[in-house]
Amino acid sequence: MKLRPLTIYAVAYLAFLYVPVLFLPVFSFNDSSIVAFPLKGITTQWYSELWHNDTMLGALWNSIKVGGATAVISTILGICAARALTRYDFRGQRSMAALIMLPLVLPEIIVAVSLLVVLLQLGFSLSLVSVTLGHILMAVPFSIAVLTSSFEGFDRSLEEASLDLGEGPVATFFRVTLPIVAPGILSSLLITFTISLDEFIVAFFLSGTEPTLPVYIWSQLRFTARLPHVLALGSMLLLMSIILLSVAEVMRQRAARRAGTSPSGGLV
Amino acid sequence: MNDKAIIQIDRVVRRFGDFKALDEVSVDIREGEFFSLLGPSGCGKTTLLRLIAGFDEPTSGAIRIDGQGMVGVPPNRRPTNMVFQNYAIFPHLTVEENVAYGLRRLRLDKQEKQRRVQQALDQVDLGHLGKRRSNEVSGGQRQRVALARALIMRPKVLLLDEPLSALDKKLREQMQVELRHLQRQVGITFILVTHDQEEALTMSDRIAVMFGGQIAQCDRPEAIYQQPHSRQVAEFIGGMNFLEAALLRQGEDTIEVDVAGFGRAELKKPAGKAFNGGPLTIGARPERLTLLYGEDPGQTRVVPGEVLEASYYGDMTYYAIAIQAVEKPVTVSMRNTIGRRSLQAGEKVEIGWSPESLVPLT
Repeated sequence: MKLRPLTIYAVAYLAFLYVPVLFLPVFSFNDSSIVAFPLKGITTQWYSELWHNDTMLGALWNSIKVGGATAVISTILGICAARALTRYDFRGQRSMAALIMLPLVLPEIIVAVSLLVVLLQLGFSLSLVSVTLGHILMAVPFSIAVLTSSFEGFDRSLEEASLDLGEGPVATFFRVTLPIVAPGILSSLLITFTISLDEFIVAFFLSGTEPTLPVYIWSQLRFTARLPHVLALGSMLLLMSIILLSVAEVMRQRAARRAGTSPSGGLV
Repeated sequence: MNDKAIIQIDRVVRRFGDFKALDEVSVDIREGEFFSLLGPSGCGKTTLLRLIAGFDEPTSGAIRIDGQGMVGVPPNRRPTNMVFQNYAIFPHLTVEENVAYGLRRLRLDKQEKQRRVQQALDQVDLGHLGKRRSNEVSGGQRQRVALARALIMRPKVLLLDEPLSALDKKLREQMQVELRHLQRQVGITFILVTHDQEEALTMSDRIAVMFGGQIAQCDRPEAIYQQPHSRQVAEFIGGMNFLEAALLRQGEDTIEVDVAGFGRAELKKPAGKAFNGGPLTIGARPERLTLLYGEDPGQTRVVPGEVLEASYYGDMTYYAIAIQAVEKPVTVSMRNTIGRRSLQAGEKVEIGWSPESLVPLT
């Protein structure tokens, strides 16, 4: 194969995108606290030490709580919105949809600062609850985007066919509606959880005294000695995100296929 | 087929806001017949079908199935099953699971269930595809799955909502024959909604032609085609020439008219119809007229004319003929049988006709 300029460009682009990320796991196994080549040797020391770091485990637990709550609430909101957008026609539908999707492109720092101001003005103290609220705001547009693709093709006559064949409304929901949209819902849960897990700026502004994992990582960067731990933690976070998003995408495609549309588009 | 009414539609009205989708529709559908609701889109035919299935309730009026009032009865409690326009095959189930879907509530034992599924699949020639995923079968096969899924419920009435409209022409014609055959075999009442007049004519025992939420005419296909009651029905079904005429005399069974361009004729009067003295419209099907060029007309009456245009359809040729005293050209169709030559534009011909060629419309 000839090396065409576009091929070179594509390879260079991908390298620029992913090589730095690959250094993360590589150095996390390096048997030295200095991040530099040549590598000294292979160790899992940094990983095992992480498990005895209570502050880190606390931050991880915080992240899981926030992520779980964000995933459930934003998916529920997403289901309502996606259903409304795909099944009904109402006045202001398009502008409503655009406004809901806006946080996707809004600078996160603006969202974070304005949330901080509003929450403090209202007299809320900063806690994991305020982080969760901020994360829901960021995650709902993603949830809607995923769910719309599985609801869009959902044919109402499928529910009618089930009623026609003798099933009541409840059995119809469990035998037809749920199985068809379930992969989409699962996909939305995974994506919103991942977004919350990885999110830093909003969490940094709103978390108060309870850091989430990314906030904890940031705080550790000041100590050179702790850098290998951060690399180990970052590697795990990376791996988890990739797994969660891959599963989510498989689910989304399956949902779209079930609903009878072609599984194009999508986020991941 | 017998004369017992399985479905009685009694002065049914369905309004959507100010719009009357159905306007006092009354009709009896007999047990075991193949009944078609035919009309252009928006005429209320699908609304009526959905009312029978129970997906919608009439604003006023009554629907009885097998003598039972159906108002307020949900679709899952009605002895009807439906084949949807897009088939509504459950995409997450296999062909077999789709067909067996409605059996769960009947609580049959496993063997009986399996036997009925296989029987239903065989009935529609899908016996070999039971294990396929439902999104892996073709359009024609999906239609059969939908049929099997409905027939396995042994409904008193099978409702079909434009079931053939998504198929290509060849497959559609094949399915028309198969559906008709299947209906005779199972003996269940079929109600077909269609906008395709040919489909309605070839398949039905009776047809209800609908316009603007009302049934314009309900009769056997032959009667609908040969004796349409109104110009609207005549126009919707097949081709028809419309001629102006004056009423000369009105008798018990016949009327005498003077048809523009054609002359006087005594026509059979449609049963139960009275004409007021004014001008009326006479319909003439293109195939009920003939073209003569040079041969002896014998008993046939003739009108001289000139060929304006010939449209060749393979088995038939449609000629537009200009005649004296009629503004619009008269269409005459001729079968292209052996020995018949094609006529060219500009040729002088004679239109041959007899009183049976003409139908008085309002």
